[in-house]
Amino acid sequence: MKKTLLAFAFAFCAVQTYAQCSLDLKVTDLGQGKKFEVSFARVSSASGYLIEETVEGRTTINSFEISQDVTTTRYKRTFERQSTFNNKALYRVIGLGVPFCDEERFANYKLDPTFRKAMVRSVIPLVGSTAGANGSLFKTSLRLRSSENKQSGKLIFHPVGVPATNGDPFIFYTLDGPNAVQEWDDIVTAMGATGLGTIDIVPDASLTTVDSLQRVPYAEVRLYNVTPNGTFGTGEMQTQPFAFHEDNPNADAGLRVTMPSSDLRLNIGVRTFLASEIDVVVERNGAVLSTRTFEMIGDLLQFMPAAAFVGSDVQPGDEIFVRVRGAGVPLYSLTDNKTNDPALFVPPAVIDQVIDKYQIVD
Amino acid sequence: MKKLWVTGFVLLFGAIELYADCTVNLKAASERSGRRYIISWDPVPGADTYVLEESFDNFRTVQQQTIVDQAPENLRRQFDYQASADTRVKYRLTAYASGFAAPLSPCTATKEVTYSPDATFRRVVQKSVIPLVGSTAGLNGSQFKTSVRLRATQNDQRGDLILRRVGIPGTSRDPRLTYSLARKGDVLYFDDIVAAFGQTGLGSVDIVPDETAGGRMTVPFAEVRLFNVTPGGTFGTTESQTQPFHWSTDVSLNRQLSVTVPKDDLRLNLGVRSFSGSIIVIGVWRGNKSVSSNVLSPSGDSILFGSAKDISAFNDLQPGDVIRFTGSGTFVPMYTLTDNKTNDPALFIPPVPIDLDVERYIER
Repeated sequence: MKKTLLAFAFAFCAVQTYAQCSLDLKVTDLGQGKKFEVSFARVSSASGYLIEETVEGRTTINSFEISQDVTTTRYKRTFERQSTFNNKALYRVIGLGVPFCDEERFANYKLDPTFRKAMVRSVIPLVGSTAGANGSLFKTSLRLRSSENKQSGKLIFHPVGVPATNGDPFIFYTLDGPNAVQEWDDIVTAMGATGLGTIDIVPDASLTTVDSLQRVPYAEVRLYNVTPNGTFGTGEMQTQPFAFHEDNPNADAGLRVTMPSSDLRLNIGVRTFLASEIDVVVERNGAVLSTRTFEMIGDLLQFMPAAAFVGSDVQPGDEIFVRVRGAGVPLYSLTDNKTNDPALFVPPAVIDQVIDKYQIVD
Repeated sequence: MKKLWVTGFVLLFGAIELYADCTVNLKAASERSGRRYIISWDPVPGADTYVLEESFDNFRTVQQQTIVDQAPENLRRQFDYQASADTRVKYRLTAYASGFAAPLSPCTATKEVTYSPDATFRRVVQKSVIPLVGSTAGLNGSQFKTSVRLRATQNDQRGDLILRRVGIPGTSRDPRLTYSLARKGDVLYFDDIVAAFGQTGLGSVDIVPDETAGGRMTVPFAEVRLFNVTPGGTFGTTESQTQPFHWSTDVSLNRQLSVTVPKDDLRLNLGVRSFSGSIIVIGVWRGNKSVSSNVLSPSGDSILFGSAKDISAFNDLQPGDVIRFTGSGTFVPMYTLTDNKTNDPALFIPPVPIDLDVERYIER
């Protein structure tokens, strides 16, 4: 009888160990599918906890360790995300050191229309069409070539120094098949505009279609002066806003340039995609000479002589650092003062032709 | 009562079996001088599923594999890496019974291994590169040259600049300059970097940091301008330094390059800078039809550069044709568009972010 009771007691303990592990995992939407709270109950026999987050479309799993705290009855951790598409994340909580002690729940993250509008496009940071020095004409040629069977969308021109509006000039593009081409000798004039600006390439349905991949065409861009003696200019690559979003771990929206001697002139600018803060630092001989921070609204291009941009006098040899906090691409041009030949520099970022699925994970 | 006793015993036995027998004997065997690890384990009684996790950051992020095949020969996984520095990686195996519904934490074992650096891989990736430089007499008395400004991004940056000449496979005897920048912000300026090597013509420059520089393999920031000097002023283009690692076709960056053949007011040159032996296909498309492809197979540290016709080996190139670079290996594709009247060049290289710390890379 004694043995029977002892065995029964052991068995009961074992069963009780299982039953005691009730994490009571809850995943609660804290607002519009952007922010979720993962909460679970304390398990007294656990040595700690692990939250594993598996994000749809990714092969890596994020792990978060939580120490056991006897004063806590319920643990909470929030997860926040900005996403251009609806997607799921699986949260699994494990009570460490306890058998059978894990539970999992899904969170359904919703696309953020504002974030999607800002990110799902390709951008040509600087374009222009204007009369140049000595009777020359400065313009920007654009060749779009399809990157899949059929592509259509809109090119939108945002003039320099002016906040973007829905009334900005635009033009439609349509590419009917593989390698189909549409080209403009002077894209700014083609939109009925002049001066400097920036162009968005917005594929059709990018704001409503979330399940099929959105691609943009290849863009071959050349900014150049036309003179009686020929042309001279520079090439430019398209890019995409996500490559310059500060919360994208692969982004680097930083730029550094040395103030040239007087045979060249330096212009510096920023094209923003979202409201951003711009940090400008000038160093001379390795020591900080001046700093400036200013705000820019989203979808704005500012482009001006270096001295105006940094807000102080700069001398040849000074090094200028620009960093965008928010989402925006810094850029500069070096132009020969005699020939007016420009060279454009944009921090290199890998070009995405598929611009549909981006997300910022906190 | 007897029935209860038996039930209790079964429950107890079952629980003990799940606890006591759940020992994972995880093993890590090194091969190829620490560049390969075989992770294996003995069968765990009662387990029918294993999850093997791999983490480079102490399990902050993990890659998982689920193994359901119980055959002993399948209770192993092989990992081959090329690393440029000692790289510690942790493996964690968890055994499950009945799918995923079994004891978890007691049934786990972890092993840490260190992948050893590969000397060949180090030589390829631990440097920064200026893909195209040149110094040559141009038309009408002009001079084409390349200026390079090196600025230290930290104290004590030293190393070598090595010129790889176009069309000549790179060797250890290639022209070389040393650089030494004592303090952060120090500048070394070459008005004509190719001439500074005592050379002329086109090429490519490696910036190879000394292994001892500040304990990390960092390179200075390079501002590069390729330009023609004429009595009427200068015209040219800028260029970014880059790093070989991001040009390996095994690294999942989108480095594709394609270009449309221009009309005859511009001339198109194509180029490739290789870092390891590579196979490069130069394909020509007219509309949606492939009309030509030429295969190049440069050895490591070579630069090929020439007219689109020569590099594509296609004599019938026409304006509007599209040229695409594809291939395998580690190489930077590039092209220039030059105005035939002014000789003003524009250089195109697929953009990838710049690394100034080139010490630590790992390739699967």
